[in-house]
Amino acid sequence: MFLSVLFGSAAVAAPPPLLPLVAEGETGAVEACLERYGGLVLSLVRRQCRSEAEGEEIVQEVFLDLWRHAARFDPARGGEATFVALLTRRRLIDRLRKAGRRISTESLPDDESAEIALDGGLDSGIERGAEVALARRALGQLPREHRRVLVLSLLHGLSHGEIAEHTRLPLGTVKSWVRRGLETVRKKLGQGRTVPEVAP
Amino acid sequence: MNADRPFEPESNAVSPELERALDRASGDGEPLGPEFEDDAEWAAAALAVALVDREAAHTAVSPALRRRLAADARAFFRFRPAAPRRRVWLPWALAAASLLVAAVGWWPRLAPPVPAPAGAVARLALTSPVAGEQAVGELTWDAEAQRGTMRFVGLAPNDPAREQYQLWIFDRERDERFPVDGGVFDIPAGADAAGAQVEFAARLPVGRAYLFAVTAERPGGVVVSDRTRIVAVATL
Repeated sequence: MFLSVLFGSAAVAAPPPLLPLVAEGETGAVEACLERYGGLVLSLVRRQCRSEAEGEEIVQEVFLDLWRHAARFDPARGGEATFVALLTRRRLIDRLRKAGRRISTESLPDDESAEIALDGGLDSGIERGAEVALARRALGQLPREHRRVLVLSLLHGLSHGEIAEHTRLPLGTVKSWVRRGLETVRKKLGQGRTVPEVAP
Repeated sequence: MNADRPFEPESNAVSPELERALDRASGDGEPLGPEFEDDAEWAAAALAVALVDREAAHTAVSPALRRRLAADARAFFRFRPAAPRRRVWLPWALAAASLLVAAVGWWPRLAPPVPAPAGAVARLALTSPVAGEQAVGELTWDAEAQRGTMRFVGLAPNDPAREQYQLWIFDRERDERFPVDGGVFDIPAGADAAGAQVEFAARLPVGRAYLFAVTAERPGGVVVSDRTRIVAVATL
């Protein structure tokens, strides 16, 4: 709530969370969750799948994780869309670990970061909350090469070593850029939670 | 705070502990822990949303996938009690999580368990959603062997001449209306407090188990449960 006061409320107001209602077994909330987050989960999953069928299977697993952990979502801790993404990334990371799979970099786009629009879903009516707005702003202010590395890490699931190999950047540089991008957002999110609410 | 002030370059000097946390959050290095409290992981998730958000706004799941998601949800929530009954205790997921922790603490006081089938892929929490029969336990499932083990504390003993417990295995590759029979079992007198261990095997091949449920049925079990008395549920 105080993040919206700090950063302006126009672009950060998120719709009321559904997961508390899902935890109570509200059928309508479950349907609404599928509607609200189906596209987000699929978008996060598809880059790390070898086939559409595998992607859909993972989407199913993610939503089961969501139902299972719905009661653990705390709106005071973070945004619901971020929580959904957190569970999605966990499922993807877990699958990669279990499969011991090495990501194939042959079919990766050269630089996807240039095509990824960072004005978010402003034209979709789906607001994702203050922390996503904060993350979007941080991304917009990073050099393009830094964004590219974060895309490869966070969306394609490449390890630091795989990113270094694909981009021909030194491993230390890749690690530094990934850590720095995460740390920048992490610190800002932490500041947002500790700053007391300011009256408008 | 000026929302328009650009982010200042961050120093490269982070502690080794924070480095590990940041690497974990990006999927590199150590596995993530069971809690959702790691700020770095939240930051990674927020960044991921920001990166795909525009695309997600124009992405829709296929109708076929939507039907499967809805069917999964129906199966999952069908074995949960209605909200008014669940109000007797904690909310479902919170109860499952807390009772799993309790079960882990309780098990050392029991007799040493029979080792779970080799290759068990998951340990699950069970909790009885039926008032007055609150049970805790854990379930292991070996997908390769198609066998598993359940361990209970607090599940009421049954009179086999009147009723038996029956296990149902929900397979993502089958119609959720017809889960696979995992067999009937009994909880003998005294085992509710001391704990009971039950071995089970799927009666039919199970491709991808995702939900397990125990019902109380007539002696010998049934082919299709009417699901009027559900005593335990576990999710994979």
